[in-house]
Amino acid sequence: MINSISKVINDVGLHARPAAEFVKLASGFQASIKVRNLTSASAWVDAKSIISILMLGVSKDHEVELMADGLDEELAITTLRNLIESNFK
Amino acid sequence: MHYTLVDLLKSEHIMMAVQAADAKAAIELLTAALVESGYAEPEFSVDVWKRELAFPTGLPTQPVAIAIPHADPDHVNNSAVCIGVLATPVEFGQMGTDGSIKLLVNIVFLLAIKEREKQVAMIQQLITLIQSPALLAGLISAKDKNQVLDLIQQTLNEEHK
Repeated sequence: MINSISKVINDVGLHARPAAEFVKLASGFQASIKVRNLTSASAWVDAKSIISILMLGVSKDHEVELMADGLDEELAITTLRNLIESNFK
Repeated sequence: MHYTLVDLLKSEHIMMAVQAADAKAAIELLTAALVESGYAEPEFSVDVWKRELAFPTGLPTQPVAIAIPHADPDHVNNSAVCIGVLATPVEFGQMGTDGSIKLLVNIVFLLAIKEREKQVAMIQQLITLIQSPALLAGLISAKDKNQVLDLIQQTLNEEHK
């Protein structure tokens, strides 16, 4: 199991298109992936559910923590972290 | 096309005074409405329950708790939101926990989502709606389906003012 903390830098945060892209990418991994909003001290939620991600209310400059557990956990974390830190481009 | 919540709310997917012994029964009843109208395949019920066990969806909203069960789109034919107002509350696990924290839920919003990318706006509307105590209070005392639809439409209109 591995963890990683990232700061969200894009303007809309994890909403709208970025939220959908994040979930689409997360859903492609076999590992169980969870995410929480450190800035609002949220609980851990399923990174593969668009509803859970939108409920997190992640805005610009919020810090999120990712946790993955499974065979492809390292690739999952690296890929999702790259997406967040690349401004969703 | 991007959907709004109202586009996905159909009268035949609103259930009043639902008699369910527990969360599983409530999910089975609501998914049955979606299967009957052709919006989902029978397997959807199993998908939703499996997901609920792994990732509970109860939310401690005011004045009553709600749950928003959902699943992957594999057995969804058309997107829909199914609303069940329960005759007596049933226990759902709280979202963000392992399910050991239970909430007595009065209203279930069951989401069948076919194309995730196109439904972000709809889900955000729903998240805003469920944070309205006035709406949830209205839903539990609503007399019929039309009143449920009217209350939701009114609340959405107020949000846009």
